[in-house]
Amino acid sequence: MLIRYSLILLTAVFIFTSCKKEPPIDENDLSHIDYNPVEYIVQIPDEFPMLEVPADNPMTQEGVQLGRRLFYDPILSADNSMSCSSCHQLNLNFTDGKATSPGIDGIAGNRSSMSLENVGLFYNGLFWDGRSTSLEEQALEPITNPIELNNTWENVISKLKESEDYSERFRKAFGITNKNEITKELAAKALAQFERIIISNANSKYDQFERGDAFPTDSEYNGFDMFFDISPDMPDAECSHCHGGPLLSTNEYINNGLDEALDLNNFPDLGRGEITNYIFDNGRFRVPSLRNIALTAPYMHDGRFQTLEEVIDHYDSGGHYADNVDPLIYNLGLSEQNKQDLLAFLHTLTDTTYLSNPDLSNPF
Amino acid sequence: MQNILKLAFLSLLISLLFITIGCDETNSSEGDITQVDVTFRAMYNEAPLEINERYDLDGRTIMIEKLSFYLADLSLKDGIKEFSISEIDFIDFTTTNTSQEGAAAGVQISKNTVPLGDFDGLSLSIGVPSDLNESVPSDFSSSHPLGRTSEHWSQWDSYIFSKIEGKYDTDGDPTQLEESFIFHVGTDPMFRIQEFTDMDITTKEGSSTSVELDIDVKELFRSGTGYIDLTVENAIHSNPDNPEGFALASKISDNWKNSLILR
Ligand code: HEC
Ligand code: HEC
Repeated sequence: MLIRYSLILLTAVFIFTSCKKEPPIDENDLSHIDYNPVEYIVQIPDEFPMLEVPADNPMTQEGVQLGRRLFYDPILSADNSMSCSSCHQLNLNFTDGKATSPGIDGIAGNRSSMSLENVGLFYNGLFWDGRSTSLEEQALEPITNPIELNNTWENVISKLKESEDYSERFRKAFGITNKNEITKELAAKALAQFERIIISNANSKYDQFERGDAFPTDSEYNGFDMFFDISPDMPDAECSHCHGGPLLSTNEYINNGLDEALDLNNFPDLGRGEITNYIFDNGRFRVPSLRNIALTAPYMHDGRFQTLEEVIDHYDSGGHYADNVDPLIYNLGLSEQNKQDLLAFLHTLTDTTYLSNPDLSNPF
Repeated sequence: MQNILKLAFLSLLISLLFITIGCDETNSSEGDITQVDVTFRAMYNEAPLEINERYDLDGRTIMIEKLSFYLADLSLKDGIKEFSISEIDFIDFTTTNTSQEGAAAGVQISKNTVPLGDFDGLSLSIGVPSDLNESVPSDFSSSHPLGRTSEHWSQWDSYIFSKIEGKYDTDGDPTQLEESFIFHVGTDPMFRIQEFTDMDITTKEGSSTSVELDIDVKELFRSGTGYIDLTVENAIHSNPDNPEGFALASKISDNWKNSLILR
């Protein structure tokens, strides 16, 4: 009985108050904006691995476009000076051309920026040491890393909420109904969606002659032969054991002999070992893809080699001893001509046509 | 722990019930099924082999850094009938055998679709069967055993059936192991089938049955009555038309087959 009375009373009060003034407008409310995401279809060459998209982050036009803006927007850095694209520049095949990449405060990192070409197709961990297992997880890191964007997520989120444009885009991409639902996880999802469309074409000169659509020069062919250990008449350069498959990387963690370490604790950068705590993983790094390699000097995790010639000299020498240097790294005994041929082959891996995909460019 | 076991048991029972009902509706001849756990251990001189540790091979110090193979067509036999347990798996000691405990535990694969009954034989193959060997890693998801880019060799148009990689000493001082060996084997002629007969395996409802197999790693280096001289034979040269390469690859393939011991 009592309950019924109080209910009537309450309703009365409610009606009364609502008569008195307009219902409060929540200025953070986004529910009036349409939410009709459209699937984004990523074009992937037949010979490439399939794109595996997490079930909770399907590819949408709206998500990709939001991610693209975030990627190019210096709003993500503490002093509005840098964005992801500062270290992953489209015209440098998504690297920065530096040995190691200084962040907003000019503090140099210890690692070289990585190309993002086909990054959505790498499934054995991200970063040189594989410490991140997904693009969604990875995208959280640069924002707060002191040697990168050196920001806080609270700061980024509050800037995003202040922007009507971003708020609307988050609504359209993820169906949130209120600005307060903008989170770092959603920002990371959008960035990941954008990164998943950075897929190259399989149309380099190398791809063309693999398909029989083009003829390599003799020098290119000899380089190809050594790279893939084809004929017994040419030296085996062994490259494709590690840089094999359609992306020219097996994505394994390997010590390719850059530093001598008679004691495995003595690598200047422990690489994979820092993540796994397994001493034999010290000095191991993820094998990078060699597509468009001629465009992404300097080379290796610390950018120690300025040119591909230096890289080839390194492999030819057999590198430096450590117990865990990969058995495929040994003195190859290449002649000067062999080295030039290998270099000519590496240049056949260049194909920048994918970079003209309008969805990849700076939207600002 | 007990609760977990109870839960596992319960869910097994429920799924069994479910499957049984399912079977009754569709194909009553399939009958009941249960789980079989097959464990592979890599052994060296009768002790579990640790990757990256030094061992003696016929007076020479060696270290194995990578050891893996494709396991195909694992099946149980009951007289003439054969029940497939698994079509293809990738068995990799490289990551499991990095500690004593890991090496002792070995690599286990569990299959829960094995029929109940008494079996007297087991058969398995080392390699990728020719029909599957026509595919390439991009045809599979990254988590599928055949989705691994590192295990396919495009110049052979073949998966790499097995890998043994490591270093060996040449100067009598084992602090540094100066040279390396790389035995990668692939292509259809290297596929090997091994069968074990006169066995007595009973699969029971509600409990899993274990089958344990050891690989005698030293036998992988067998050459006649002795062992491979690594200073002479240390890599399989890739060209399939190269007769020397073919002979060495065949020898290593046979060794894989013969190294298998049913515990
Ligand atoms: C200050 C330069 C810098 C900025 C800014 C930066 N990155 Fe990077 N990025 C790097 C470096 C250096 C690495 C390699 C780091 C390592 O391995 O430890 C890297 C690695 C990556 C990788 C891993 C690629 C692979 O193949 O594993 C991804 C993905 C990536 N960055 C995306 C981003 C995104 C998204 C942003 C913006 C939120 C961003 N980066 C901002 C320098 C930068
Ligand atoms: C045993 C495996 C292995 C072999 C064989 C191998 N590489 Fe590498 N390669 C790697 C690894 C691992 C890295 C990254 C190392 C690092 O930065 O610490 C790398 C890096 C590179 C880079 C630099 C890529 C970048 O983005 O900075 C180039 C170029 C390269 N390799 C070319 C070659 C060539 C050419 C051959 C054959 C002569 C070859 N590699 C053989 C494993 C290998």
